[in-house]
Amino acid sequence: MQATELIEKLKETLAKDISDFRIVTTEHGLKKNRAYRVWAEVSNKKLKDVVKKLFSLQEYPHFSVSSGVDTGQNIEILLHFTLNYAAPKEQVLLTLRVKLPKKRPVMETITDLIPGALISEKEKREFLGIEIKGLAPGRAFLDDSLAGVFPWRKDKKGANKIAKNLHTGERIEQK
Amino acid sequence: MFNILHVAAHSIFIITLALLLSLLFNGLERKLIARMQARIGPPIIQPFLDIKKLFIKENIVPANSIKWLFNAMPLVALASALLLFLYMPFAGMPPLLQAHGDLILVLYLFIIPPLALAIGAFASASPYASIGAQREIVLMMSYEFVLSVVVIAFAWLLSFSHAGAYAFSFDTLTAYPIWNLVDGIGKLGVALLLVSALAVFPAKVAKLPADISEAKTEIAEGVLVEYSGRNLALLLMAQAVQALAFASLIVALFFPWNISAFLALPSIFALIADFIFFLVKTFAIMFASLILVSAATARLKVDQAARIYIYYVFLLALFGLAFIGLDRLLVM
Amino acid sequence: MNKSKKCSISIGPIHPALKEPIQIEVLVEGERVKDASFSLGHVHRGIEWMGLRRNPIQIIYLAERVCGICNISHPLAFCIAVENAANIRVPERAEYLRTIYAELERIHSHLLFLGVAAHELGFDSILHYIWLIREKVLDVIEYLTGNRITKAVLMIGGVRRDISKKQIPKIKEMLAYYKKAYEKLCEILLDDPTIKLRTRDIGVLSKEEALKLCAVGPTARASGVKKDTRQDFPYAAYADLDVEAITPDVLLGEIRGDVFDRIIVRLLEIKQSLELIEKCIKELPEGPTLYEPVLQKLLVDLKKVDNEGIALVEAPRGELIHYLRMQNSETLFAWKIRAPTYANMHTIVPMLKDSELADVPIIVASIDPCLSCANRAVLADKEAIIAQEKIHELCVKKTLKIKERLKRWEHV
Repeated sequence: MQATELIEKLKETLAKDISDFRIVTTEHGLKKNRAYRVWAEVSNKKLKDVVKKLFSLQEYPHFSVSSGVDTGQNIEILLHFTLNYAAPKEQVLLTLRVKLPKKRPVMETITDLIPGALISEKEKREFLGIEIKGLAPGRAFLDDSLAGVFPWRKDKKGANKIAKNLHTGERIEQK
Repeated sequence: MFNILHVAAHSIFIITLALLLSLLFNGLERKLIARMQARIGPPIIQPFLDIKKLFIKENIVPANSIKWLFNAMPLVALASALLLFLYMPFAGMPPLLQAHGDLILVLYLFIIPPLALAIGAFASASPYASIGAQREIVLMMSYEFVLSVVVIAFAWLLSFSHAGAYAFSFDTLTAYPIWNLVDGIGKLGVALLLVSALAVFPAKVAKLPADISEAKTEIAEGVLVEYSGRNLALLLMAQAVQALAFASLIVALFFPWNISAFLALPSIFALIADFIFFLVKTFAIMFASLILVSAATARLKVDQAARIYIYYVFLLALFGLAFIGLDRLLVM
Repeated sequence: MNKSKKCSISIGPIHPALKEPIQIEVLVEGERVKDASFSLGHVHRGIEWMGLRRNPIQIIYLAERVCGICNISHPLAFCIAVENAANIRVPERAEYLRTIYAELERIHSHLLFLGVAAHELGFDSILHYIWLIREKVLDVIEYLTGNRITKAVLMIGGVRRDISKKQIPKIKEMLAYYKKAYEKLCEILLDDPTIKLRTRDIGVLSKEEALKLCAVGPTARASGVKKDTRQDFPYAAYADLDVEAITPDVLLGEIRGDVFDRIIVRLLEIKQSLELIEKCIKELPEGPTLYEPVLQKLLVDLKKVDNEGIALVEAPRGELIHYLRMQNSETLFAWKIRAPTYANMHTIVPMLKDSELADVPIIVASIDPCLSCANRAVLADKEAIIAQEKIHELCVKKTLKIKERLKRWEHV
């Protein structure tokens, strides 16, 4: 399958569920090969449906990682998928954006569909303080004693002091 | 009274010499392996430096270990390894305590250091050490078979050819080198016995490919993991001494000749020549079965190693025994 | 020990088999592994967090220090992401140079892995041999970039160092050297019975599991997933080079997804990298190597960007992702790194199940874990840091104690 074909199909299948659909192409090398990056926004409710629909386009959609950004009012979770892999030069990099209100940042897990999303979701939970329903308990990265500190938050819950020169115990306050 | 003092002095001399020699051989072995791996390697006296440093270091005993057992075992291991030299021909001389022990005693003494190591490891209450100790025991059970077949073959052959002599004494073994007792197919049998005895060597002294009980990258030095300072120094010495002892055992069994018998030298020179010849023989054995092998193999798993010893090496030894038997039949 | 009794053994965070801290907890029954779990996060340095307090050009140097080995891949992914956000077109010559540097890094990394794998098996002679031939590529990297390990050649919009015509013979000499060494490596790794005994059918990862767990890089390819970012989603000059994802059936005719396959894939990729470098040198186009040589101007331009960028790069261990967002500011607004090991960590659980304890190190090593890549986080303002400080304090005390004792020893 060609990348453009896949993007059309993607648009078709997800038309009702997504907004802010953007295609960014870049060219590389002497032959000007194109690489396609697709961005789309999904509401929190429909995320799981959208991920399910991806399975109709590819037997195993490759979930790369999810990124998280604290934008002030919202916490944005960006799920990066690669589709149509194993087709030379025709892979599509799809990013689904989910906005969670900071007051109640709750989303559903996709680990039941894609088991490989486990550490990524745990990371979001630990670093951004969001709640992920249905995700296995336990921490993947940060020590238990750091519960309640969410380093990627840009508000008071974030990390404001860091240790400098561990042996002296000196810490510096960050702006 | 004088006799006891004389024996004591002589023993101390032999033990000191054996200890120095085995550490020196250990250093040579490390250097040679390093050169084979395109490394420069440590200086030859490195084992001495290591031991010296370990004696300075703190001797840590794990809190939940059985302390007396943990501390006693390294001493037991080293002592029994060193005792071996009093009962075996060493440096071209007949065994000092010839009248008090024979080949069977030597075989038993050989079992003590690995067993002490395993007991000490179990006493340390570390999971890594207990796994290492289990492996050590499994391995020991698999290779002891082979050694017993070798010894039985020797005794059997000697009891046939020299019915009057005591078959298990080293005196007899030295007086009648085994190669002279057989010919043709029997020589092949002895060669097979030699190969199987050499195959046991790496397992006996925990060197590659059979350093399974220590397995640095798997269980973090296994049996040695909790040992440090003085205890570790004793264990390292015990291992080095064991290596030299096993090499001298193979020499005593298979290559008992002394060079002085061929050269007709004056007595003092004969002693020196025999000593040098002994060094050459033991080092050749170590080179063939330890250094070359450990530079050219990966570590086996314990079940793989046990299978190799129980099936293949054991079979090899049995074939050796069978060939010798066949040879006897042909002679008769 | 009672055979039916299960015993939990922890491998790591500090263990001679692991070059970097990860904790693997295995539940063993005798020598057999019944279950396994892992925990990350022992080397958190807060790199992303630090990055949000620096400007893009400073971050390149930070990105280089995410990992000691992939220090082309990380800054490359970062640069491509910034270029993607700022819509910068990199000159063709720079794209080819980037490819050469990235492939040199791959050779170096895969040789390193092969050595480590041999070491895990206790085969130190091979370790030393492989690391000896690895010196050659390090020498060439030093010759081209000025540094052996941390190369510092990448810049947003191109590369900082050109490869002159005079330098090309040395690269060609290296290629010839490695072609010879490759034959020898094949001989060692394919024909040695002890290596086969220890790696064949050990730590098997089925294709389905690899797909489900989103494995990447050589780990996925060894299980038969033909996934290679250089092939699927070409960046730099890979678009011109027609890279093909390598699976072990190329050489062996079958795919088993075991440790041996993972070794073979990396071995074959060394050869592939040599061919790619050769092609790049042959087709190296003329032209500038930087989009904007005046860095002040570049920074001013980047300050105006309000966009997000994402980049995929095939690092030696697999797909590497950098995501970033710029919002009209000197510093970044968001930065996320996803290193390949982060994705591959899941796969060690099915690999370890029902293996033997003796196989654990080689299985874990077979995904070539790079944990400093997988762990990047931040220290927080809670009292938790005390724990580490306390440990340090104890260490200092202990050292002083030992020093004291040594002094006494000297007096005696």
